[in-house]
Amino acid sequence: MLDYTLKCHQIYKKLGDTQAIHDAAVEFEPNAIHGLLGPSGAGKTTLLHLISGQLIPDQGAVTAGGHPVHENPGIVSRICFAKAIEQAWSEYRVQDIMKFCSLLHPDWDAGFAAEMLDRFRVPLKPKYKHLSQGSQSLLSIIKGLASRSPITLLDEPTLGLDAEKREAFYELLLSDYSEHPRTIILSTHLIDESADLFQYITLMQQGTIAAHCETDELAGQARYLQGSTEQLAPFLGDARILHQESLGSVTRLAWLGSIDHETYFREQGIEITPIPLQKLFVYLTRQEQQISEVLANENIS
Amino acid sequence: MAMLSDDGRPIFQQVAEKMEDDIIEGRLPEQSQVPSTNQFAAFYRINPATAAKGVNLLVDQGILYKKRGIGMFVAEGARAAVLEKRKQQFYEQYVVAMVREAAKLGITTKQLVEMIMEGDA
Repeated sequence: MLDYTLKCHQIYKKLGDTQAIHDAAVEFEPNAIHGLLGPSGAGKTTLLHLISGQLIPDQGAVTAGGHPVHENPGIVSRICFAKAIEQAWSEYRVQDIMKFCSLLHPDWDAGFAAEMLDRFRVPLKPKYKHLSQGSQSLLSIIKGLASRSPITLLDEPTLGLDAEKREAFYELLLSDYSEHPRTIILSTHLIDESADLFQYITLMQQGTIAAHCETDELAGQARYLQGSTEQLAPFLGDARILHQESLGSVTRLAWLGSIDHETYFREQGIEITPIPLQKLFVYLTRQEQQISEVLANENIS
Repeated sequence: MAMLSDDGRPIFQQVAEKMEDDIIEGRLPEQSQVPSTNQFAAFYRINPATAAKGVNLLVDQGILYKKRGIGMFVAEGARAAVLEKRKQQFYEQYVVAMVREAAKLGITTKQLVEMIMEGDA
């Protein structure tokens, strides 16, 4: 089995006048499900394009198993990039698209693809451009999963899917991953629903990698501190505070990292409770300050 | 997410606790096989690595053991071990919290004891 550890080495990419990606460095652990998170415009889709070899970095390189991805057909054929919208497919019929996919991806599972098209009732005859947004997303999902690619990139796979289909997708993803473990990188803004799927998360901010860490480890470092505003006042302004809110004279801080005065806090009756993963991801993606520094100080990433 | 709570406690810990509950209540008898990590992952809709972490937590404590090539099984004496552990946690989780809440409400120890007696009747 080849090593498909995926690595971005300080990559830069300008799109028009915008520095879309700058100094992005990250290594994706192989055979794990990764969540790629960040506010819109943070560079998630551009990063996936660069990883897939469909865009060339201005500086730096993307490697898989130590080999550059760019202009390397042996590697590129093992990477499947399932986009939310596939412009190139517009004029083609679903059945033809599936045929292209089977030619492009050496490990294509045609039986599985046919079964999924049937299960999600995606019609075979219409042209892609005439499909609903939901069916277009499903087609991308089917491409991604049926490719069985050692590196599978899913960009906003749940776009336009209703709640029931999204739930079906999450189940499908887990069962398919269990049977065919591989590196899956999934970008999404539906953090609430997908938080529990990810073994690792990669957080992007303003075109760079702000954090990359194991989900459990990150969650273990995040706590709410709740007490009277007076008690908590001396700690306001700490860089480790992700979020703060007050109700009357009660204040709650979402705190990421070590708590220096834990015993004191407890004696003071300040409640220290864990932050649900979904909430934590929301705070992290909302952050405007550079979260990377906080995490580096706390030895989390 | 099915059945696991959203209180922020680590998910692998919650998976381990669900298994402990099953052991205590006899749904997972000693020497019986426990579901695979992939089955746990599908059932709770969580990452299989997280489910594996929950299972391994109980393996480390000698509550589950691995039969090579077959799967995970409930160890002999697991029920007693889990009960002992959970009784200790009971004090931390429930008694301490209850006494603190009672103090806040001005309930005296005597009244608290009476309430417990009443609840037991």
